[in-house]
Amino acid sequence: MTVALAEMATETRGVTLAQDDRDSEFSGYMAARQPSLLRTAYLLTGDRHTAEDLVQTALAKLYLSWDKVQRQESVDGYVRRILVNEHNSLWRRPWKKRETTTSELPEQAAPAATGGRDDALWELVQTLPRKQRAAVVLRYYEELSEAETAAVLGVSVGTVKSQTSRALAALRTRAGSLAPAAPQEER
Amino acid sequence: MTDHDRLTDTLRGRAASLGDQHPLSLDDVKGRATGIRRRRRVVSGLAAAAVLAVAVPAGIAVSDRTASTTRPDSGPVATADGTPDPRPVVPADPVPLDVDTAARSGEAGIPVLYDGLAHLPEGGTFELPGDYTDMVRTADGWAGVVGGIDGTGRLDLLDESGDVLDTAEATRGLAVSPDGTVLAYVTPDGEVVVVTGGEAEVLGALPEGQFTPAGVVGCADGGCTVFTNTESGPASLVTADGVEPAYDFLEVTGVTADGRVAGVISVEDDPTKEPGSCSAVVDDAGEQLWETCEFTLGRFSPDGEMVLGHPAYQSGEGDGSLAVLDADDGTVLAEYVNNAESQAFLYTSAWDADGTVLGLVRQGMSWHLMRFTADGQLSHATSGGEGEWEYVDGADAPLRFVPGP
Repeated sequence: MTVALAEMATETRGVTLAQDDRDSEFSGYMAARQPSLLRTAYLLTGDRHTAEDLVQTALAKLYLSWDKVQRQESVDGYVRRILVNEHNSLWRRPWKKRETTTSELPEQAAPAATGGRDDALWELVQTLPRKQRAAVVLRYYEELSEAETAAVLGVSVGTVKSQTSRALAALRTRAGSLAPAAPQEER
Repeated sequence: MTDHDRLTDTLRGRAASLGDQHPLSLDDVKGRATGIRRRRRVVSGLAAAAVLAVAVPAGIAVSDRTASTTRPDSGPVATADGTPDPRPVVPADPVPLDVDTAARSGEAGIPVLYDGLAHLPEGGTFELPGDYTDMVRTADGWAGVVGGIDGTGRLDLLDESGDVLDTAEATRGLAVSPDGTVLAYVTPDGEVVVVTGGEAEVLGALPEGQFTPAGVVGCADGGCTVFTNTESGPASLVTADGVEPAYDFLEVTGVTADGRVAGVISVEDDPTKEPGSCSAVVDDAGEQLWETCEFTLGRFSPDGEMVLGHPAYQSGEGDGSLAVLDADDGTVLAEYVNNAESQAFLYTSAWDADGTVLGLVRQGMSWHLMRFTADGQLSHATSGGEGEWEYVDGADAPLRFVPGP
């Protein structure tokens, strides 16, 4: 019995050490990637507080799956997928709709404006439907390929093409033109 | 500079203005993780006790006419006059949501859409004329909407065999009256249209915004009432007399033939608190019959006797539970809850014609068409079968149910 208890105590210490190692690893990831995740979440949501909430949920889900995700896939890819997926879902929820569908950003929740013309374009980006907006953020901010964007969104490459095409068309229609003098080009 | 370059520059500039912030600590993340884990709670005596303990949340005002969700002990429920209640003897504990341990049951009794076909409960299929995001069965045939999530979509009215009879511009979402005789949709301009026997009539006009119809009732009495939801505000009630708030509902989720309405009445959106919501059922005069903060109420059963209960907070990974509630008073008749072993999540659900519930469940990397009963029986419904899960969320689900009469 004494031996068994000693073994149990050793195992318990092992679990605690493993948990500490896990938390340490996860803290390292958070320290390195939190600002970047927050920026992407902000572009998806248009509101800093909602973005923080989104990142907190995404990191929490990553924390719960940390060992498995590290073994099986790109951690950044996993978090991006959760960010987009969670944001798309939150839009369907009435308790988030009130936060995310306002056309005017709360004063204290928005960073300072960066410039007249870009501010106008940013305002227009925020009027895009959530999936188009996600496609735009992944393609033109994260600069993912169409295939990578499709993987994050869980849709076909064709859907990514149509979503981004519609988004750009909508932005051009509303803005007159994004860049009148330049020819269009495909990435 | 190209369009793409300017867009990239704009997004980078806006993102950079946020700076290098680290607002979240490890404790913040672990705290949220604990909440998520709790919602994916393991079925255990402790968890069941915790559920019972929060059946009537503190701080919720309950008026004389307002009941809250209750969970009776096992055994018959006695009525006021002492006679046994005919309702089923309800399970005291949640039923594990686990497809591996479920038996098989009969075919779905409502149409199911998959592989580009409408699979009919009476047998047979027809090819869908469009990639419908919403489809309902009416007394005259079918109606489906292609697109519409951006505010502009196409409504197809189909005959019984699936041939397109007419089209119109519509937003996403369709509502059909409980008897199937009236269809309601919203145009991109915000007009609420009711269609009866192929004849369309504009009932009213909504203010600017994107609206989806959530229910239509009362047309047989000479005046249709259409409930609509919008992402930018509370639900609306539209009649020939005008538009007004749909009682206290933020979102209407179900209506019955006799005018009772279910929906969400409040939300907890303070990020420092446990997320959740409260729902209620009101009568045809808008008087609240009962409320719950334990579930997000969904659709009523075809006979109006039961109502679905989804989690009070629904995360992006599907629902970890489903409840069937007595529509009269919110009594939990059956609750299905996932666990750490099954990791099963419900993505979409609908009442079957026989008063059971059909649900698309993801477990691991596969999906399954399951049947849930009000007496706690979980089984595989054979229509639609099962397949590999390769979808981000329910919006891209491999099959859709078609509600209707």
